[in-house]
Amino acid sequence: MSMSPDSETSTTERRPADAAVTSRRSFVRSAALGAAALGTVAATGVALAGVAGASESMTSSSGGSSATATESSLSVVDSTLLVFLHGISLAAQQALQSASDATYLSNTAMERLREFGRHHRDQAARLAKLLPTEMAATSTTNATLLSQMNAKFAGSGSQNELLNAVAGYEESLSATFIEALGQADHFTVSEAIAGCAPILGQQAASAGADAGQSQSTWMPAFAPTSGALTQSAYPIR
Amino acid sequence: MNDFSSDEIRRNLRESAQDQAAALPLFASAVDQLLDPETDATETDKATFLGVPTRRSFILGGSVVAASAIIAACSKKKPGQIPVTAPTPDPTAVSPTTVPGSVANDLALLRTAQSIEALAVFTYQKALDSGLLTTPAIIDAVKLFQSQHQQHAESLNGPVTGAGGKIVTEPNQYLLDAAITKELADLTDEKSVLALARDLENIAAQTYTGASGVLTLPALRVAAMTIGNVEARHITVLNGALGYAPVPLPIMSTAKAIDPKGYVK
Repeated sequence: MSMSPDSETSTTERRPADAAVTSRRSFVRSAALGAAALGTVAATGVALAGVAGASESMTSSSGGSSATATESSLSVVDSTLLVFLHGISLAAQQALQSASDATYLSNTAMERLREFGRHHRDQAARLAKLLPTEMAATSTTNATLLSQMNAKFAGSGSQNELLNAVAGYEESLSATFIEALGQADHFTVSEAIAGCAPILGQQAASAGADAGQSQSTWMPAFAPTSGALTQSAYPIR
Repeated sequence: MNDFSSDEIRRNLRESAQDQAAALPLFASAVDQLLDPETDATETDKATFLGVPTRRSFILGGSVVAASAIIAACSKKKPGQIPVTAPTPDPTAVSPTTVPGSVANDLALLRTAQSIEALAVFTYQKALDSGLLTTPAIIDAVKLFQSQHQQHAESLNGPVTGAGGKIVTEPNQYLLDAAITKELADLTDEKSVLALARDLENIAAQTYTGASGVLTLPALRVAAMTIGNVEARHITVLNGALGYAPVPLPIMSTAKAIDPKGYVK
């Protein structure tokens, strides 16, 4: 085990054996989750077969890399979810970038906010990779969230106040991604979301600690899901 | 920034101690109650809550689709061909217990997660008993992390028993043998304890990250991440204490997740 920060290094590598069974796994997962996502609680065998058939077109890529859902096979639930998460990630990136220009910030705080912003950008890019090309091209910043974050950050009069606001939004984003895990249809989507959610929790903790929040706020025993952003309140354009 | 001063951490730790003890997460109580074998909830209630078919129909459906997957995998697909699933389940074609992403795999992941939580509790106790920890803030942090891991382990009781499994209270033997025992023996000072803690939290966080991507039930994926997200926060504190950037990367890897050889089935 390594002590270096690289021990958390992002990777899409999977064990070859895993890659070999991803397609089969998607059948079982999608059968249950697809039905659930469609609100079909009492799914019939026919419905299950239908969902399973649809999921078969989600293929494993070669070379032991992670399976990806083909563009045409991404369910409406998943594509909508990805566009939503992509949009709010871009909003967070842009808002943090703007906030980092505040003159009252220390260099460390400024760099920290920019780094968090880059993380949101990279997460948005990862999510967009799963979207069909046309959807990825048109998916854009969530205007409602960006406007709200910009206003909140601009209204902050001190570093502490700004970091408190940042921590609050990071916590909301963390809750949003955690909740999204329960909405994802295909496992490639839930895997991508799962890779982002812990980082959002880390950023909430880091900003919360820096802002002097109560430790129980930034280090709860279980990450909160309350405060998750919803598609109805933050509509996709 | 993120220097986590001793006074600050100690004050905050005291503040939150009671909150932590009382803080049962939504999922723990809800899932625990719902999956309790003695609950009044019917199978349909459980399925409705979880947003999936009833267990029986789920398993049946799983058999259907698993069998179909095998068929599809063995057949040469024409370009653009729409796959067709088998009309009826053939239990002899494939056992759902051998297919990743199955209910059986869920149980293995949940029990493995419990064993990692037990390992964390065990390891932190060894660290506390070692006499190597001298900074009060770090001692308090280790105690907090240990108590949170204990809560995580207990919160998994309901899901494990609800899935027909036996609760795991023993530390994960595979990880003990592969690394932790040696690392514990090699501890020399406070920094080495922090490094071990960071390694352990990375295993935990990355295991939950991986599990959150593949657990079959939506409620379980959410539940797993409410825990994994906190393990990641532990890493952030330990990163700060060791002088690393608190959040160095944009995506949580699963490279250090426990190897399936270490699963507790």
